[in-house]
Amino acid sequence: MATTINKTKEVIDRLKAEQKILTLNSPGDLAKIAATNKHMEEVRREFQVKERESQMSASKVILTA
Amino acid sequence: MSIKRILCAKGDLKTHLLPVLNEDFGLDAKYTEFVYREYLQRPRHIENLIDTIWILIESPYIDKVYRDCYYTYFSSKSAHYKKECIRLSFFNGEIKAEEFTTESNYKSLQDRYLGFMILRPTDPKIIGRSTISPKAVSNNNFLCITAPVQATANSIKFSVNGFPHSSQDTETITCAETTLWAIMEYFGNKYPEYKPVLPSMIINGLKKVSAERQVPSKGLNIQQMAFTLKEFGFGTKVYARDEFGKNEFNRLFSTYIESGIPIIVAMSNRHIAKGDIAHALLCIGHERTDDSEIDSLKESQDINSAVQQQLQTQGVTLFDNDDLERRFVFIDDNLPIYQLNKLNSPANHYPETKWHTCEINYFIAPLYPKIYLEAFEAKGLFKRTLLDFFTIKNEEIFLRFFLTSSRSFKHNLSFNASFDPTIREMILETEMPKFLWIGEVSTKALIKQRKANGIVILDATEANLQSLKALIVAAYKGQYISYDTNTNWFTNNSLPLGDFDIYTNNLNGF
Repeated sequence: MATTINKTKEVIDRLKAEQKILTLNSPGDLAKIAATNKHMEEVRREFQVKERESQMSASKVILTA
Repeated sequence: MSIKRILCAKGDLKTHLLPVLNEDFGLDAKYTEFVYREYLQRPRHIENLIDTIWILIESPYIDKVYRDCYYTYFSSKSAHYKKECIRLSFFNGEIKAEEFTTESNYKSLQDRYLGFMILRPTDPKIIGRSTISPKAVSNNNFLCITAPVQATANSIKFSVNGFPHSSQDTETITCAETTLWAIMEYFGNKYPEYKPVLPSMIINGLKKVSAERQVPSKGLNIQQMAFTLKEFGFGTKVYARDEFGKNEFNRLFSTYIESGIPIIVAMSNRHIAKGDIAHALLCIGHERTDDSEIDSLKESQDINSAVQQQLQTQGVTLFDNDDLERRFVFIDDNLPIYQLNKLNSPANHYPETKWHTCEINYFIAPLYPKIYLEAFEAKGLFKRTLLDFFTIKNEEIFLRFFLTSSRSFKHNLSFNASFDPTIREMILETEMPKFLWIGEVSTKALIKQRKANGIVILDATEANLQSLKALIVAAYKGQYISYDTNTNWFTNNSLPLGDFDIYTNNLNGF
C-alpha cells in the first residue's frame, strides 16, 4: 500500500491545536521587517558601489608573474 | 616507436629520469642536470611527496594541453620543439611490472594510485599538467576541494582525486592563463555543466576584448580573467581589498573558501615600494581548524555601524568563523601543488625575498550563473535576520556562513542523526532552490565539538533583499520561522532545535 509522507502538515496541525504558532504580522513584527528592509537597502547600496569600484580598478591590474 | 617504462622509488628518480630527459628532450647532459636541479628538485615538486612514493616513468607521452600549445604556437617557430612529453605516475608503496597485467591486482593499484605529473619539452620550465592527490603530499593536514581526473599508467585506466596544477611556460600560458585552465579543468572534471578547456580556447575567448595579439602571452588583467570565466559559463564576482577594506575582504575570501568554491587570487607588491610583481593563483581550501585557534579568536567587529550598534545594545559578543587566522591552501604555478599560507603573507614560501611583500589585492569568485545573491549581501541578511527575529541578549555566539547546493545539503541532513528529527523532516520537505546560503549559529564551546544550535537558510537565487524574500527557514532558541503557503506569510512555530553536527560537506571537514 502506498504511503504519503507529510510530516510538516502533522506538526503544523499539532502546533495549531496547541496554539504554538504565531503569524509574524503583528505591528511589532512588521516594524522589524521594515527595519530589516531599510538596513538591507543600505547594504545593497554599499555593495553596489564597492563592486563597481572593484571592477574598475581590476581592469588596471595586469597579472604576469 | 616503443614506450620506455621505468619503475623506481622516489629516492631513485633522479638516476632514472635524467637519461630520459637528456635523450627524449634532446638536451645537453649538464643542462639536463641544471634543469632537473633548478626546476624540479629545488622547488621540491618531488621532495614534498611522501617518502613511500613509487614512480612510473613513461616516455614518450602525448599530452593534450602541451599538444594544443605546440600546434597553436611552438610549431610556428623556427626553433625545433619536440612534440612528446614524459609522464610520471605516482603510487603509494612499491609497485612491480607484473601487477599491471594481473586483473586481481587492479583494485590494489587503483587504491595506491596518487596521480600524475607531465614533463613537457619547454625547458627550462618543464613541469606541465599534473593532478596529484592531497594524500601524496607529506604535509596534508588540510581540507580542500578536489575533482576526479581520469588518467592511464602503463596502459591501465586510473582515477585520482586532486586539484589540477601546471607551471607556466611563460609563452603560451602565464600565471593568468594557467589559473584559468586549472579552474576549468577542476569544474569540467567535477560537474557536467562545465567542460575542461585547452589554452588555445582561453586565448580565442579573449580575442573579442583584446586589442593586441595574445601570444606570446604578456599576462591578462583581472577584468579579462573575469570575462573569460563568464564566457565559460560562470556568473563571476570581483572583490577588491581597497574597496571592501582588509577585514571584510578577508571575511568574504574565507566565506567562499568555506563554501568549497575555488577562487582566483591576485597578489602584488606594486603598492609597496613600487614592486614589479603581480601574480595570479588559486585558493582551494584551508587547514583543519584547531581548538587553540578558536580559543584565541577575537570578537568580531562588524563593518556595518548599525549591526555593530545592535550587537553592543543587546550585549552580544559575536565570533565569526571567517575571522579565524587560518592558513589557506593555494595552487600556485610557480611552486609545487598545495601550498599553505596565511592571507596576510601569501608569498612567504617564495625563495626570493621581494615576493614576501606581496599582498592579496583582488579575488574572483566563479559562481554558478543563477546564484544572484553573493556573499556580502547574503551575510548581511543572515546577521540582521538573526539579531532581529531571535532573542539574543548578553551572550556569545559563533557564526559560520557558507554556500552549498540544496542537493548536498538535503542529502547530508537526511543522514544527520544529531539533528532534531521533527525539524529535520520539515526542512527536508521544504521546497528549495538549487543553491543555498547557510548560516550556522554556535558558541566557541559548541564549535569545538563541531556542533551548532541554530540555523538560517537563505535562497541564493533570490536577489530581492526586501521583506525576508530570501529567507527559507530559520531555527534557533526554540523558534522555527518558515514561510506558510496557506497564509502567504512567515510563521513562528515553537519547536526546539537542540545541538546538531555542523555541515562539513563542502570541504569534507572543518
